[in-house]
Amino acid sequence: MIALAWHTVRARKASLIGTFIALSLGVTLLAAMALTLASTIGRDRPVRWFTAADVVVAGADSVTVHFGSGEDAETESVRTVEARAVPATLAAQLSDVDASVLVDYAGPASAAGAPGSTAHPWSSAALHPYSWVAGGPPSGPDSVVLTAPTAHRPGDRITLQTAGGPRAVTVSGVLSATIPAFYVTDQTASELAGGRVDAVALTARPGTADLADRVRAVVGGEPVRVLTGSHRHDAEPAPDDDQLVGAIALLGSTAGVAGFVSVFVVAGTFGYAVAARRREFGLLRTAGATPRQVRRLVLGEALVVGVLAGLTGGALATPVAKAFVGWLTRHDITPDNFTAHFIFWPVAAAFGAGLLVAVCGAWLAARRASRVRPVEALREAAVDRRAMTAGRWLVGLLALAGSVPLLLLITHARSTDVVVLFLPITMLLLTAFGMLSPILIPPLAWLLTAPLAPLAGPTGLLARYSALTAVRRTAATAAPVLVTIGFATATLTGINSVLHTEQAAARARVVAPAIVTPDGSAGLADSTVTALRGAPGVAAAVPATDTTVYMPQGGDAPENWVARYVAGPDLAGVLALPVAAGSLADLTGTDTVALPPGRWHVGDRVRLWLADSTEANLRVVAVLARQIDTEQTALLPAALRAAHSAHPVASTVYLRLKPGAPVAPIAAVAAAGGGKITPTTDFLSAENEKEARLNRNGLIAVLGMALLYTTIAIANTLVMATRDRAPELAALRLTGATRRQILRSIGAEAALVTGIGILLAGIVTLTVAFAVRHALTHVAPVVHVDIPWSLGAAASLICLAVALLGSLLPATALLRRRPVELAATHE
Amino acid sequence: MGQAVALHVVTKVYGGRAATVRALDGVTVGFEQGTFTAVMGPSGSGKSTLLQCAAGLDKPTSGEVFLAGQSLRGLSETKLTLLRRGRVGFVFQSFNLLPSLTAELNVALPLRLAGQRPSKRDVRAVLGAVGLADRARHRPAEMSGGQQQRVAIARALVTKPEVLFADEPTGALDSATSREVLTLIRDLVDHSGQTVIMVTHDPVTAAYADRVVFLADGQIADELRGPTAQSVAARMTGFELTGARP
Repeated sequence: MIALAWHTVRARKASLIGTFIALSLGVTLLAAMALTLASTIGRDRPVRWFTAADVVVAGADSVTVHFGSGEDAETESVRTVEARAVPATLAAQLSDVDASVLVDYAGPASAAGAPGSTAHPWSSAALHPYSWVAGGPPSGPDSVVLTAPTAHRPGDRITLQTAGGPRAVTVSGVLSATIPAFYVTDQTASELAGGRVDAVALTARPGTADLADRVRAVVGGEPVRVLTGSHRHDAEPAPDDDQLVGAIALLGSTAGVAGFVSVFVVAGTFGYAVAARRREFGLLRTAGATPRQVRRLVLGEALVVGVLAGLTGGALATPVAKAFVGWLTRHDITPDNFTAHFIFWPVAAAFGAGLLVAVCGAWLAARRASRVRPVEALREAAVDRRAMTAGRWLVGLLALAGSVPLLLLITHARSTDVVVLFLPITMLLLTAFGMLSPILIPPLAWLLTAPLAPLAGPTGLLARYSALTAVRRTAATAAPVLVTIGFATATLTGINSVLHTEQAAARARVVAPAIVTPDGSAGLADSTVTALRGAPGVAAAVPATDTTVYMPQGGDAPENWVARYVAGPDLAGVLALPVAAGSLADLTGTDTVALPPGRWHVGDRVRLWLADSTEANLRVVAVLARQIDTEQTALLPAALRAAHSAHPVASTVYLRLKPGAPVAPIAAVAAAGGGKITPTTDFLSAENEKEARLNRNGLIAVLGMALLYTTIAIANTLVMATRDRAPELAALRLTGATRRQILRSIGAEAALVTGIGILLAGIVTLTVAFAVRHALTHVAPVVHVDIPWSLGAAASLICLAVALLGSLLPATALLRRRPVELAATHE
Repeated sequence: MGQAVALHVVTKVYGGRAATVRALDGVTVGFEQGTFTAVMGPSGSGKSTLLQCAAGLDKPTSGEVFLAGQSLRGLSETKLTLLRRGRVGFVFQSFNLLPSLTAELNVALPLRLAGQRPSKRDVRAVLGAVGLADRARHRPAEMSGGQQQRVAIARALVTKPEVLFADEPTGALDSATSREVLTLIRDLVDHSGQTVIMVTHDPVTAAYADRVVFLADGQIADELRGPTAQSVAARMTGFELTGARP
């Protein structure tokens, strides 16, 4: 049978090209996305700062919880955004170890026109290779070395923004190194870091051994990490890592979407290709083939095509992944030094998955085709009396049932975390409507054509009847349209609605008329806030510092929450946060907290972890109202910040102004402290725009390649379907239809099928819109349900154009032959 | 009576560089209005080619074809389609009905394609004439072979064509159903004055015609008027013995 299958593959080259294209591009997409994701794992992370050190001691940076007992005992660890300081006493003890010891400080620092965000002692420059561009080491407390590229030159006077406020310094030198930093004298570095030790680097002296063990003996049970080898990287300032963590989540979604559309398109294409050949199988059956032989023939063919297409897809995967990573890097989604390279297992997995899906899709259709009695198969031709198969019912209803709990979760989750649910919900709804489409097509086709029926000529009539009777073909060709448009509009509707509603809520909370934010610096120093308070026309200046807390989750890893350090009593008048119980005015001292409702009441004590992984035991003084912008959000007292952050600077300063206050003097004070003043409304719209751009690029990264693939699939299925219609076109020609009439009818049918796909996509999008509205109604001051009409319209037009080309071009080719020849291709 | 179709020294050569086949070799023949002619001959004698050239489905390599007095030479494919739509009806061995349309929509299709709005009564009348008034709403897949062929005949007749071409119209039918279909065609000639040209290889089928034209090797070999199954069979037998190549 395999030999026979090989012959049919060769004989039916033209019709198998369609399945080959669908599968090879599907495998390409899947393998490329898997490769990109896999390239993030085990990535070479070279040590760049502590190169010369043998052992690095840095503060702990993880939260570990133990729960359960005995057999079920489990440990969960979460890495925090910051690390603890190395205790000063330990740093002193480590100085007694027989090695060359260097204490590294990393206070926040920034300057206009020079890269870097931390100030380090000049001695730390010896830890890694560097070369001088100009000048030399810092000579006094007001002297600094910059990292290239910078336009500053030795002797330039610049302002260094530090946690202690702006500091006028003189550039003593410029050097070139892999990690940008500001180098000051060791004494100044300690001062700028507020005495907070970032790390201790130890280098073994010649002839000594076991440095790491000796260090561990000194460290004992202190909350620090002793790092050697490539682990030294973990203590380095590495801005790339944060970016890559975000990118990995994004690439996970991308791979998920790629997997979904590949399976959807490949299974659909193979299923349709087999169904379209029922007549041929009927002939085989009349010639004496058993149903089993027909099935084996189909499976053999699917294997031959599957292996060839899988190999092609695997070969294309690496260049596609490289191009994709190039795009990601250009749009700042992945770090500059990230590249994709060939890895065997993701490509092999994509190859196997593609082959499996192709064979399954073909097998399901073949099982059905082979069961039909020969004569019946010959007669059934293009009329699908039973387009709804048991398999379609099963998968369709399961997907629909699966989407219900997720939709309910959205309506009850009341949080921005629901954003991640929109992809699986969309996938399930698309599967459900794609599978159940044979029962939806007749009413939808009627809906689309009924208003036009009196106007339509014979070509319109033909298109309508044809779409309605060949339900299977219509379903197969409408499916990629459904996926293309549905994916784009439904996910965007969900995500944009949540984000816009959230932004509207944020806008509603801020009552301060103006905001000061860092202008390229790490944050606004306390001295700057004091200066702003003293500026003419300022009634109040209230700082807030963004941070993260880790909330215990019972039997699970601690959850990462948004948090802000604020001065409770000052909030009234600048922020109108919804409070359900207690008072934000009580948010003072270092042991208070305000939390969203649910598990806590005013007066409760809460154990949580701060951003630097230290544990805090806090008293709840206020419970926030249940709103979209209070979900998973904690407010911490300002005084708690000092001991727990390497960046004790404000992220935002809210200003309350006296009536008629001039802005210019306030702006000057802000600028001196490395900040800029913005009217609240402008600030929020600029923030929104930035977020919208990030979201847009992220969404393009997740959906772009998949939608490109489904658009190709639209053309591909239509070319396959149109080529199979040669006998029908011949009959039309012999009945007296002109070429133009036939093309018009084929075009009308392609438009009708696209319209059906668009309507199905519309149903999916409206379902998501309905769920999101329901979810947000009670948790936001204003609900924005944002359906991207213009994107939907553009996607619809593209699909229509592709569908018209995909059907009219092959039809034109068929019509170039004489009608009798076409009729002859029938048998 | 005038000639419905006339072929004048028509030659048709198929094939490419390697081998050429002379399917028709200087054929001159006429078909009078209101007559029923059967074209017979062994496989490869050129009978289907003759029908396709006569009907304007295929262009002769040389010679000229006249349909209702009009020459087909030099007509574009669209002009030919329009001419066929108005003047010619076809019935084939494979019924060539559109599977998605009901019987009445299939029958009405040529008129609709010509831009007319056929009345339901007219369509039903034609369907009634072929004995299928009660099957108007059935799709091809829901009908027997004989019924499908009768729908195809009704569709061919609905434009009131000057000539009905039939290529092995009973080739896919059993003998009882064949008889029904042939009686129907005979009635059309006798009662409506329809001109019919039919290609067949079956003497019994040919016996329904007024005249039988025999083709061999692309040339007219013989002709028989008032045929019976026996006389046709006898002529064919002699013919195949002398005419067949070794």
